[in-house]
Amino acid sequence: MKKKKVSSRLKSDGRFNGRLVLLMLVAAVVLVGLYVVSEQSDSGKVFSQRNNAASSKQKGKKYRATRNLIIDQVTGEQRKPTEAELTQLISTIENLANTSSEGLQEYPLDGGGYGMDLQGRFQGVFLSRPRSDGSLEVKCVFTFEEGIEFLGIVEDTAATSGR
Amino acid sequence: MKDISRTISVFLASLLCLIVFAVAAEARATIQIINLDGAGEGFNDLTPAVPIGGNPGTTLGEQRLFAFNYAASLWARQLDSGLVIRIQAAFNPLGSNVLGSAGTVQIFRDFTPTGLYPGPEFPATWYGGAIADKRAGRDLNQTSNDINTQFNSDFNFYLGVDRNFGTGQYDLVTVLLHELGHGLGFQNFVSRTTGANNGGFTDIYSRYIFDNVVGLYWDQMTDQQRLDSFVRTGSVVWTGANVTANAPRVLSGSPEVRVLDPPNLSGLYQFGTAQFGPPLGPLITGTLVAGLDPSDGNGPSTTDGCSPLTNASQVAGKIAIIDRGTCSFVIKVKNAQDAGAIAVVIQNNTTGLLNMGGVDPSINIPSVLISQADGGAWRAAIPNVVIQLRADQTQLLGTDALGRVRLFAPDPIQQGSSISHFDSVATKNLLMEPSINFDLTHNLRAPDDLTVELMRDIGWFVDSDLDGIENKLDCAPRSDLRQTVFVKGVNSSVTNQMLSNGCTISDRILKLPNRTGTQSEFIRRLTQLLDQLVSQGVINSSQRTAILNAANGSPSVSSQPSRQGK
Repeated sequence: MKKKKVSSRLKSDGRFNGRLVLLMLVAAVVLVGLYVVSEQSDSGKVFSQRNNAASSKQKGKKYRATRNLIIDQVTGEQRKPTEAELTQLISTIENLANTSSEGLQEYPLDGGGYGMDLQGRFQGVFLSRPRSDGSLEVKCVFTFEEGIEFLGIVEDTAATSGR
Repeated sequence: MKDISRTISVFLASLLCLIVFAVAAEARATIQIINLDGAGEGFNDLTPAVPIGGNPGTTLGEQRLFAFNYAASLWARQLDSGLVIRIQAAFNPLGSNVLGSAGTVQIFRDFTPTGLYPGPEFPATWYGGAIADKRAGRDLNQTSNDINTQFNSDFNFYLGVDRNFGTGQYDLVTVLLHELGHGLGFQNFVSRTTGANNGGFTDIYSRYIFDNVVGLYWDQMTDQQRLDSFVRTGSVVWTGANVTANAPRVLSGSPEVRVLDPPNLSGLYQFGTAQFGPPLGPLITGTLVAGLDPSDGNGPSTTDGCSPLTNASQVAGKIAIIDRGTCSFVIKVKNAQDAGAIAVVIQNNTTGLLNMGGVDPSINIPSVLISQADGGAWRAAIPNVVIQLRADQTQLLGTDALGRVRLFAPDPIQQGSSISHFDSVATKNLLMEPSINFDLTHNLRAPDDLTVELMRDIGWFVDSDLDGIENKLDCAPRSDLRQTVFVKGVNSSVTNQMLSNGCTISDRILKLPNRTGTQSEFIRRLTQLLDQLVSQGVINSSQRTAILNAANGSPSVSSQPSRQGK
């Protein structure tokens, strides 16, 4: 009997219908949100962490810039990167420009064949450097070595420790 | 309650994050841009922006997304795929010198196709995710996106879609077209450090790379040979038939300067080119004349061409020779042009050669720079010197002797090597060179570019009706894909099936020969076809009858499509 009453309320009470719609909307938003989190886990965040792990071979090396790379936002003048800026730049290029297949695993596909998650490696990376007239020159690179050569960054052998 | 509302806010923000744009309106492929940015950043940056260059967005985030969507639509129009191409994208702060990156997320080999799809062209060969899905006819990994892209939120890209960027600005759409090209297949998966194939298997891109020095394709090489080939400048070429066939439509011939007379000077000469005016092209032959001008404040010499020429009557219709120095190259060439010269030779005033810089859109005759010594010899032989300027169309700029387009392989290692680019010597400039040149268009194919042609080479075949069969092999490249078989506009209500050669039943009926054009011949041919389809088990006898009835103008009363046959 109670069920019948509820049922009739559902049909007749517009406010209840509104709540139901609201609940359904929230549920939909929750599902979409979960999907986003899952998407990011699958292909975004995890992939960055993997990259960080893969780039460890450059650790312990020090680099220095041999040319101006930064256009100072305050003065508008070109300058060499600070140590912090250089560290960030090196780290970014290491993460993005990596053509090593070390540690990459292939997995079997349903129905035959194999796949391999490249874990963010084998990416084309566009880099820029300022020309003397203030304009920018850009190049697409695939490896760390190509990237630092373009940017005029060299290993600072005098500062390298542990080797 | 606070927690609940916060949770809802987070999920609402997440919902904003997932703005999926499906590019399908006029596209032949569907490309989704999957926005991975959080609320208030990247694509969701709410900083107000003024609509610019055809981009109607009113926030920075909207404009970025529109530009992404626009670039994706340009690619989508060139590729046929029944599978959605999913591009995950984000704008992040990447420092001051990184514009962005892109590449395929996964690679696949030896996958099994579905339906009429061809599968991989070669066994034991890696394919990028998007092209693998297309050739498989199914999504090989439904939990993964196909292409990863990341761009720098700190970089001041031009966000219009009209290429009207300012000096020194970079057009986001062009950069995107380039990077998506890599993600769609313009890349190899060979280790730059060791030369090793990924997992011991070659990739579809490498199968088309040929090294003229060792006479081997990359998939035939040892690791060391590949490592050597990475830096074999000018010798590494793309061998795909589509790129090679279309290269003459896109690339210019090699320019050459030749003296025809007098005999003691005849032959080819080295020279510098001009950044202004037209490049050497169709044959120009003319007598050499010294351009003369007054010695004045513009230039002390009477052969420097810094003032309007005084011997226009001699120069008109001839090739003028002028000294380098005192004023700019464009002033000299413009003065000769105004005097009626058909071309200009600038004689260097020091040793060596250089290319001439400068801008003057009004210059419409070609010019070259020759060495001081050669110029001196030519001047001494005037008026008997006849010059020929042209671009040799048998040797295209950026190709080898066989017309195969060169890949970028500088030695020693340089920025933009790695073989996954066309050589920067290509002229005109190509989208997939390592640099973004300002004269690039947004057109991805010949006569403006060769990127789509390379995609065809690696297996992005043309498939207009998305039945999995390449148009040139398809019985009906644009099949009648209606659900039921129609005969002369009459619905038979029989299920219209796709046959193994890419024709539907309706296509086969439409293609029936009918020399006499009579209804009786049509019915006779149709009966033969239907009997054949019955014998093959494609349709049953009642369906045969229904189609024949439709052919005779009687629509079937049956609305129950049969599933027999396939």
